[in-house]
Amino acid sequence: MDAITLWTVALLAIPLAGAAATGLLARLPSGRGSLGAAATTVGTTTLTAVAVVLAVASSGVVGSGSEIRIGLGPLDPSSGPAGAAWSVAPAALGLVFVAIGWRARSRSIVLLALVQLALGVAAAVAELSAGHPAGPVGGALLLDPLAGLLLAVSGLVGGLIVIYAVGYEPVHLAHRGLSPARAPAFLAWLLLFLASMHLLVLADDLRLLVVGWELTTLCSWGLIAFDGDRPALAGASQALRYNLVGGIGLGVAALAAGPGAGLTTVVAEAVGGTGGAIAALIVLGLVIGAITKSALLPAHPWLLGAMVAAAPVSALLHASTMVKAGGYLLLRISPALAALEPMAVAVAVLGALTFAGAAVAALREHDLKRALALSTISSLGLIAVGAGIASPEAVAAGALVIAFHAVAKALAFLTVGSVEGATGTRDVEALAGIARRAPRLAGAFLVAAAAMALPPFGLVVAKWALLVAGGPEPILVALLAIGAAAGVALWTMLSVRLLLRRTGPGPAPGRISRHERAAIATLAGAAVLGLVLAAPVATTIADPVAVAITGTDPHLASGWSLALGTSDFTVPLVAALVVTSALVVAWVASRVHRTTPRPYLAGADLRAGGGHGSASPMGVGTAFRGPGARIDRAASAGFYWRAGGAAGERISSRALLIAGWLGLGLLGLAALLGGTGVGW
Amino acid sequence: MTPAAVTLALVATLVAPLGVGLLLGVDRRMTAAMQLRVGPPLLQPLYDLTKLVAKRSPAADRLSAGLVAGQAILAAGAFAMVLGGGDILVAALVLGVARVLFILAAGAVDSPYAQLGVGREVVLLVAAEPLLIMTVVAYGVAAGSFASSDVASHEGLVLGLPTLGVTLGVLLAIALRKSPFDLATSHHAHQELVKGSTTEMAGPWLALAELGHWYEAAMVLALVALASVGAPLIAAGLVALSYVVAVVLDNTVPRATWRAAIGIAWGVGGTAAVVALAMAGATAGAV
Repeated sequence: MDAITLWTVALLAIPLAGAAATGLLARLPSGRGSLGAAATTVGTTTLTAVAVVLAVASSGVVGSGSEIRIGLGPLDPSSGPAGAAWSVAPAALGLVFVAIGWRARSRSIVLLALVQLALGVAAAVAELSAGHPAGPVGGALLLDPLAGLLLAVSGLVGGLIVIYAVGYEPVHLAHRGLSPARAPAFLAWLLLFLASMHLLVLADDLRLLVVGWELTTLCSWGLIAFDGDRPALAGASQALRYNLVGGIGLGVAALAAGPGAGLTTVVAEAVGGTGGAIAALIVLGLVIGAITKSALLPAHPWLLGAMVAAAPVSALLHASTMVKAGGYLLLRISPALAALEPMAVAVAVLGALTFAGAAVAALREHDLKRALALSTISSLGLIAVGAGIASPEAVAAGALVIAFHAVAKALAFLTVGSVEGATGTRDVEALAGIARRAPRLAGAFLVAAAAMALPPFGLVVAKWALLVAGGPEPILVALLAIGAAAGVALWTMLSVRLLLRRTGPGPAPGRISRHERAAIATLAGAAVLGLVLAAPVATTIADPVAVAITGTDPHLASGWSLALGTSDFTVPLVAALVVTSALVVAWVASRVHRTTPRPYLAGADLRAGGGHGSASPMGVGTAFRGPGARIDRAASAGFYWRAGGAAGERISSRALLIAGWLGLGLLGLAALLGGTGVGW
Repeated sequence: MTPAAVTLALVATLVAPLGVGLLLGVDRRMTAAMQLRVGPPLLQPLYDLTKLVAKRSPAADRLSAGLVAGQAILAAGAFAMVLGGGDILVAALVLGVARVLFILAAGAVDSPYAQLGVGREVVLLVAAEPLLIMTVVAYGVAAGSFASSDVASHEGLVLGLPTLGVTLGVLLAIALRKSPFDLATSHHAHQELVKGSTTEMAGPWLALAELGHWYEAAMVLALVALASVGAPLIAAGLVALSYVVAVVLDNTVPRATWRAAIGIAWGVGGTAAVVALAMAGATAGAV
């Protein structure tokens, strides 16, 4: 066994072993395993991170477009019994889902799980009747720059989130009135998830991909439902329902492709035009799976429902890693989409609708987690746009979104988790002015906001590249422009509330555990480094992905200008400008005298010592004498895109669904056209 | 970018506020003429600015003071990028950052009027930013490059993409805070909110905020100029015409509600931009 195989297998084995050990410790009575579980978890994530670094480094895929095929030895599906076992595994998971649906008394989940069970059995029968074992030559796993990127995200960013969870979860459970002794079980779920995610991104053989995919669905259900109260169970069931639909799409694709097919062979057949209608069906199945996993319109409701889960779950599964699996799959099959051209257009349009729709809808929210969830959906739409445009620049931009969004959104979710843990609220209005009382914690959130919205952070580079690449398509550009503007507006609105100088009482954060602090500080440092190193990061991460998938190097980082010519303008120059202005902001702010003049209240304000001021029960700050000499306080509220109250809420959520179904209809039509070879 | 070009761009960036100030002076004279008044001297906006700079007003908030300085630098930087032959799409994104910093500066104090203005500034950001991006992308697609030097040397943009004139007009009205887009802060004393977002700024800090807005307007004007390097006379006529239209509208139409502002911006400016994008795509495809 060579070094790469060793470290790659370790990527699967270490988190799995850690999950098993933590799970066993969780069974110990009255929380005696808590300390051991925490130590095991930290050790496991550290080892996993080391394995990721060693696997990616020893494979040499960093900075190049090369790929390496890795076998699983006796477990490789190309050997007869193992292949059948991998085929049957989704059916076994289907059984688990039937049981879950049965316990939740959800007929739809049982039904969907039964369909999945049937698909798994059919796949196994097809494999056994084919007689001879089949599989990709040289192994079922594929390590290339895209897989390496996803591994780095789940191994490094995901590892930090799990370490955060070690400090966060006991406190969170205590807050919820649950026994902190349940924390080890939570950590075991997280570690099991890491192993499943690694299997998912490394798998080339569709049988392995389906197993990894369904395992992440299972982990998502387990972690959302973990608190066990009614909203948690409802959110978990909803998420499961959507993801089972996607799993069925994937199962159909695997069945249609037949045993032994891998993502590479599927793409090759579609590109070569040898697949015919079957190729279109396979690709459609994969796209349906990706849409549900990435919560693109119209499958977005499950991700909003999943926000009842604890902060590390939202950060790990529902922002950084699991929901990226959909975008990852789309990027991987983007050459196939391009070959079945109408499908590429449909995916790009659906992605752009998601990008713009979710960003605009987020402007309604003052629940921080819901706003973050909608922003996540929006960013996932952006990845789909990249896969749909399918040019080297667009694919590289999609990879860049995966990388930068993972860091920025994980940071944002973890910060919100700590703020909520310390203050008991995540409502922006209740938290107005928190940046003045807890500058470091709120500062981390502001760093995340900047990383999401401001150039030259990678996310903006990606938006910029997609605008350039999508140039000739007016509707696409219009949707991208609206989504970009709404995204910037969202982060501005949230930041402006947090930065407010508000006199009077407000929630002050209490103590935050050292695990939480370490994770947040590291992620914030990484986000700031992303500002300084935007160009080199693009060279090492994004360009190789495009080379591996499309065969062409887009040189995304060389000068920020591509496809349509060159300019002398470079990322470092923008970075210099932004950094200069940031320094000026800090310098001026430090030079200006600290004064607190009363805000302008059109002369109606109550002065201290003027008879009412200090004696006023409302405090001096913004107290004023209103109509009828009534003493009032002019505390200002933020602006939200609130048209029509609850009715407006219904209208906006309905509009999102309608847009999503239209996009889905377009996708179906595109698959039909692509499958029959008609084209537009 | 050669050193000479950099120097030229920097000098032009420093001089640009004078031009915008002069333009605003003409604006005030024209407005006065429409109301049968004489109006202030042509250089009054510049006098106002220097007066503000000379004042010694305390900042309402330290952070706000810093941010307002930062936004002026970024707005000037974005404008310099366009003049220096840089990527116009990047410049548009940097200008967006300047707007964001201004909004943060305006919202740093818990003042009801300023907060009202901030909410409306966000609305204007949502209204204007897509138009700016679409305009710039249309330029890039038509010219085959996003470098402003290439866009400038591409002839016939102004005639090839006539609908962009409408979009740029809307953008100019928003940048200059003209009616019906003066909901966040206004130059007209009869509006229901006169100084919204700038309520808590005074003296040099207000001057810096104004300067940022002037650079924003200068950037829109630079985009107009880019499209018309090939046909300066037509361009000058179009600019004069749209400016007159803007001033007349400013003095005749009332302020829009925030929903109407987005409706007008996206409905009129956005449709025009989408048409321009389609035309740009068609001509670029034909070549």
